[in-house]
Amino acid sequence: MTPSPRELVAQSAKFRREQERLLQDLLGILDSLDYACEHWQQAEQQHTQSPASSVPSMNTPVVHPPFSIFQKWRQTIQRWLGQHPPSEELVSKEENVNETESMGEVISSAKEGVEMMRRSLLDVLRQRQVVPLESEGQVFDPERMLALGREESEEAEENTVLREIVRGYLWQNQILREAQVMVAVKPAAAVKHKG
Amino acid sequence: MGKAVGIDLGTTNSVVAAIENGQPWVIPDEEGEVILPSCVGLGANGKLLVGRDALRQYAAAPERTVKSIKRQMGTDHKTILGEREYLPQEISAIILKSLKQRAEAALGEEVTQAVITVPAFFTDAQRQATKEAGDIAGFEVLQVLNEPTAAALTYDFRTEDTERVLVYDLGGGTFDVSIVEITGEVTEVLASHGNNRLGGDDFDRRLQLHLGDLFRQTHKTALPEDATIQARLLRAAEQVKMELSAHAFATVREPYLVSHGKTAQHLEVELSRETFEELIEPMLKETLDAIDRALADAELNTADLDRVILVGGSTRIPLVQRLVANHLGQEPIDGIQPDLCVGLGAAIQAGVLSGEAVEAILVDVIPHSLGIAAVMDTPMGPMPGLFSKIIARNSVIPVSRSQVYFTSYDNQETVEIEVSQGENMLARENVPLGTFKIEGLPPRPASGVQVEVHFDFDHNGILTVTATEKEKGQQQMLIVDDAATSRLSSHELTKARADIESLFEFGEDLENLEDETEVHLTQAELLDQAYNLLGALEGDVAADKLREVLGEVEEAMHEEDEARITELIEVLENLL
Repeated sequence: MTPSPRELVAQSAKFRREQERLLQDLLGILDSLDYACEHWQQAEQQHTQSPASSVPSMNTPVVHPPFSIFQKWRQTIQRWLGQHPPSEELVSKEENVNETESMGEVISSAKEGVEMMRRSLLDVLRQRQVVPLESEGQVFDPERMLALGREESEEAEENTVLREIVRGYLWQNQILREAQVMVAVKPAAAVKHKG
Repeated sequence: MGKAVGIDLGTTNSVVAAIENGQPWVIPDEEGEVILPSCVGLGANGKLLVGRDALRQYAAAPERTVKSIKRQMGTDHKTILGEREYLPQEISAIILKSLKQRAEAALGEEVTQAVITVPAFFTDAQRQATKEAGDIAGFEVLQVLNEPTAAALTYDFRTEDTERVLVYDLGGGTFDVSIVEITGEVTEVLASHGNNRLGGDDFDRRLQLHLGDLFRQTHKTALPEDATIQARLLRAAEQVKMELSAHAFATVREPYLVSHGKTAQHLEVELSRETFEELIEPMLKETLDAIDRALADAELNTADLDRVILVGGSTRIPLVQRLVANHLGQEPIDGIQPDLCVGLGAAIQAGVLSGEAVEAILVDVIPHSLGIAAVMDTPMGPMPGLFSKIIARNSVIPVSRSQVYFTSYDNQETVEIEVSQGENMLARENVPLGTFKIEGLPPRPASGVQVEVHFDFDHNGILTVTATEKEKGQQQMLIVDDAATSRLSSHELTKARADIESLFEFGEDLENLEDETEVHLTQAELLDQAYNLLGALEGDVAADKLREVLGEVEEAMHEEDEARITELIEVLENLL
């Protein structure tokens, strides 16, 4: 007996849904790795630009610095920050440079490790034909992207993606997860619309 | 002539369903999605967008996207899309046309007729507009059907008695409650109330705010204003909400939620169902007020209601079921997927009107309540050995439910989970299914240790019981694979229950009943004997004759033909 349309639809839908659920769960972990990579990249950038530039971050209430060496380094900076006579500055600075170097190593190694995990997961997904969806700078595509809102921009073309908030993914050329984006609008147009 | 379908044309979502082999089913699109968002728009290139695609562009292009058009039905509200103005029924027609195409693609034949549902409170003008929308979409509209009636049809199909049914419909963004009186084919709407701005989306947002609060409590700093962070929290909230319908606890993990220079702040919190319920209860109280207003309008008391039906995806939340049950003093019916049941009911009506054979919907339900033995508070103080129900009978399979229990005395080291099925208040009077223990609990005063007991009953009738001690995370499991001694459709079950009840009324005459049992006993003995003999005679000529008679006996028993059984038993006796 040939299966009825209803059974056929139900069968294929069920199989696909099960696979989809697993892939979507994996995307959640990939997101976390993305955020971690972004964080470490930022940290590294800040660190290499200038150690002093990270001073403002001390004002932000940080709860658990991940490494004790970081704490020590911060204390050093604090000491160095004008609480001591200038004569001592040279010595502290030297000490500071050493600790800055090892701090830089800590950050870079953490960054590399996380990036490696992210690449592995991306490879696993790519083998199953799951690929990230390019969105930033592209024309907004309602079949693949969810607009969270629009933002005024002089430079960007109207109706293009200004910022990606959540990355989208394709699975066998079908949408596995839509990208969540902010869409560009010319300032004048927005005013006109509001009026 | 083409096929007839039923359509639930909703404010936020729409659904199309049809009858196949006597059963209604919801037709998905090519991607397996059963729900079509009721949203229409024009893309930047002028392309028509319907459903999810239109909804996705809403925030980017509200000037060329329309949603919730249902609220404008029956008015001459003009919507401008591109070069043209559209009436509400024309926008609705676009949604209907899209559902028509979806149905035709899946069924492989033309679809020409439809039953379309509308809220009970719709005026004649609104109903007329809905019918017009169907006409424009190319349907012959067989009927414009009330949503509560459609829901009631899904559960009980054509009763001749007059029934008063309360339908509680809580969806993603709208709420309404209706009281209808159904007599055969005629349905009268007695009262209807609601709030068209309340639904599951509000619960998501409430939970999202709460996650932000939890972040502030952990890190002593507020979350920065950031779209990515809010998008992550909203998604976490949506997931947690669903998880808490089946589990007593759910964990949210959002690593690297905030990045401050070199340090990152993560969010890892466990939410209990209790907390979630506290958050949403104030909003749900409002729905109970609406029930009271509807009852007052209909001049009815809660006791006058024959049935309570839950409709809409948000009624999957256990607290909703509990509040409605307590408020009305009766267990609501919620077996069929609550977000699809209006569409399914419309399909049943379409099937009936177009002359198709339609049967009652078959759903697998659990015939007996499942639970464990526990000490429970009673008016006479705490009592041990009471049956604490975890999954109530009549629940539709598959189902997952859980409860949290506490240790009952100081320094309790072990808890024993005794699983049983039945309806008796005393656990030992019910059918035992198995027992297991969790040992080595941390020493705490009474009620100091929490144990979550989770029941999972799957499609194959396998019950998995998992008990988790919260503090150390110890877990033990029991699998029962014969918990479903019988599986009936909800209708068979109601019928069987009614049959048995009438038997009890009838069976007041005890002597008569005993007699009958005795007859069955001797018959059973005789049959046993015959089957034994059949085994011994294997291969003999007499065996064939015996097998033939036994077959006939079984058939007669199946048909409950008493006279024929007695006759055949005689033949059997002679034969032996």
